[in-house]
Amino acid sequence: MADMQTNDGEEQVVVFELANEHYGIDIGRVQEIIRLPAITAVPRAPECVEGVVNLRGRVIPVLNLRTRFGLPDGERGRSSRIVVLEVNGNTVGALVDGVSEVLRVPVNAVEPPGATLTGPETAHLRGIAKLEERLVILLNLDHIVDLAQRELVAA
Amino acid sequence: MTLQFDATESDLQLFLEEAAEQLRTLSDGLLRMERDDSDPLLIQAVFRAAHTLKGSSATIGHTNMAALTHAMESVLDRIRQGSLPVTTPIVDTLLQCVDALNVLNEEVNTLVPSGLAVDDLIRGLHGAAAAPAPEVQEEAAPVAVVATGAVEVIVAIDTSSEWPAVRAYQALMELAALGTVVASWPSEDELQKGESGHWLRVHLQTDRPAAALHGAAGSVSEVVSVTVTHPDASQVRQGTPDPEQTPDPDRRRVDLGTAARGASPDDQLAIAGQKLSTAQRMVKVDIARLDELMNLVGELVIDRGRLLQVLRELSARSGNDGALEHLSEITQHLSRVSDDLQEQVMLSRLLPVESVFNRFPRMVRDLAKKSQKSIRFVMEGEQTGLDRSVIDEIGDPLLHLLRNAVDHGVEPADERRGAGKHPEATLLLSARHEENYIVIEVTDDGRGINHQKIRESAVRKGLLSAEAATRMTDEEAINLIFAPGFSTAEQVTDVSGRGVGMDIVRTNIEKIGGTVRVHTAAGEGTTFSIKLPLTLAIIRALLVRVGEAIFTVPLAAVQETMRVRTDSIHTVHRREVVLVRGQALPLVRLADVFSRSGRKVQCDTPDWCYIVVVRSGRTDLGLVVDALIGEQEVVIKSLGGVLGEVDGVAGATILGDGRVSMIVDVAKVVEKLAARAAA
Repeated sequence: MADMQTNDGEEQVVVFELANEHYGIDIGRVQEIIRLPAITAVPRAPECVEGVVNLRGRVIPVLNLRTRFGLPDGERGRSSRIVVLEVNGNTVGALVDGVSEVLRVPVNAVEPPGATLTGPETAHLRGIAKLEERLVILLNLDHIVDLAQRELVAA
Repeated sequence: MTLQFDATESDLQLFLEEAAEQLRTLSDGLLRMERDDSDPLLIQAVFRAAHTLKGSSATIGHTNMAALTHAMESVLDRIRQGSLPVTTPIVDTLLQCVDALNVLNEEVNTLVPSGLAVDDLIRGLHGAAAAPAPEVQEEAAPVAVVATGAVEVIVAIDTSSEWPAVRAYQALMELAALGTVVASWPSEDELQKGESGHWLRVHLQTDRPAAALHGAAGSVSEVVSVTVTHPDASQVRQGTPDPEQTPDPDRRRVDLGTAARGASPDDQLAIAGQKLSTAQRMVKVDIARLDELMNLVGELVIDRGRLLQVLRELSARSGNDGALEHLSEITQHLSRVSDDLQEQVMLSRLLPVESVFNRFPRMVRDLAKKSQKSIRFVMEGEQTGLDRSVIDEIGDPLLHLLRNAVDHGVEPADERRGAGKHPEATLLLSARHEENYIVIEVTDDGRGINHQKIRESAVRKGLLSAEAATRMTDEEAINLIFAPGFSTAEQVTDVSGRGVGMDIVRTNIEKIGGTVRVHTAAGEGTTFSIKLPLTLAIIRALLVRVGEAIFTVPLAAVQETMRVRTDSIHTVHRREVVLVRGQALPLVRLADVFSRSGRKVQCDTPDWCYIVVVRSGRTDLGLVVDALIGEQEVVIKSLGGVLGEVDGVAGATILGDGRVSMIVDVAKVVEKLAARAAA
């Protein structure tokens, strides 16, 4: 699927914010972006699982990416959104501070994460896109969801 | 590299569906043939499955599959003709081929070549077919030959046939060539006058093997099935049997006695007839589509709830209002329609319990042989419909009950004779509908459960004190069999295991919202009665509030609810209890059960709180909650693939206001409490 978005050495990413940083997700993975509905906590779920929400009759889990990346839990405000994603055949929501735009990122602007960052969180990253004004951190969604699942089994 | 087949996507899908069915027929049939190779109907079914598979695989251009099925067909054909005996090595070879076919079939699904070579298997088949037939041994007598007796042949003609009488006449002539026709219905005269349904029943005096009769009648075109049975002379009745008027079409007998030969002709006729006549009114629907339909109906049920809530809010705000009244009327009508729709969709999802029952005749037969008991196993109501979700869950509990019945319920033949009973015991498995439930019963005519023995055994195992045991009523004593760790078997056998059975039976049945009851009479037998909801997708539930969270408790588990003062809750051995009618009821605070690591569900217990008394197995438990919200139908939703199964949560549901509520897994919560108490 990802191939379909690639055109002339570019990929399209949905950019969202977490604690004033910019993150990007491959647009092919994003099903939709919704405002925050009531989130129901899931008993005994790992910290990064914020809870579940009702998406037009379907119950989908929501991950708190701030918690996942070890960022302080932020206030939920008017700009907070849930990005609904398709990961490994499952539908998952990601709680983010806000969604800003869709960007075209030239493939040659993406560096592997190891070049600039180190630490355990780098496994969640696919790369860093260096654009004129800023850095956009591209996420490895499969890994994030995978990890949440493993934590759940261990819980 | 991917495989290419000469067919469209939807053709391949159709092929896969059909192939799955044929493969099942093949493997089931081969296993049954190994035990009883004299049933021509069975051999014919297996042959036909191989034949059909050969044709369809050739059509899509799956050459490996076509070649293998062709070789299998040749072997099966020789078996069918009676020229090759069914031996274990041959069945083994054929089963290996079925395994290979499953692999090849998967290729169609994935389009990835498996690399499986069929040449060896085909050579193996040729070898098996070419091997000289071994001396006919006593136990492997391949062909049922009735020297002087009459056989009954029942021929079914395709209902779409334009010339049923002609076909029946042809079949009759074919059979007449092989023996002497004693009688036939319809008679030869009637057939010549063109009077015929789609059935022919012939009593034939012949010494030819069943397979030969089968081949002869089966050679007539538009004949869809041929059944050959060897009735006792006394059963060769006069008069006209009327296949249209069978007393109970759901009833099928599986005899396990010495003269067992599957279902009686009457019943087979009824079953086959039923299949033929209904086939034309049926539409095949993908199960996924039905699931989707059920989901949509679920949404409708949710929206109905939301609409009612809005209506309540509006009426509270503006009192009597003409438009509001109108809205209320419409809402009520919508409620009725959605109720009906829900019911219809639910009914359309029902599958006959047959799919579960089918595996039991074999099992009971094997068990009976192993424990050297003579048992007639009867199944009734296999066509009773049950939701797929429930069907998946009842197999194991039934298996345990049947095992128990064979092992503990039924006495050895000597003991039965001594008690003046028929030496052959009867074991009945039946299913029927009762309102919105299905009732499945396992009944034996064995020795019954001895409540005195149960008491003694329970005391000996330390499950309760001798004093408590004597205080119990007989009924309570008998219910001890459901207690964890209880077994009355004087010796542990590999048949019914080690006393985990009944405990698990009850837990599993309650998990799907059902109940199990036992009724027994000394010396007369025992009945286990299981009552199950028709569907697991929509249940009645009690909504409760804990802090800001709303939890859903399945109503099937709720015994009662009560309001108590918080100061009436006592702590005994570090556990909270409340006295209910003189009995201490252990309590569990839902807020504690559902606290997450780090975050707690805020509980605002002031002076009063509510207790929901739930039951799992024999244990009652009080769930402490802040408030009761009400009873309503809820649609069970899965938490989704990422979360999978969450401990203590049986699923989620969507409330009238669109919020998600967790459904409490009562059995799990009770289990946890018991584990904590034991620790």
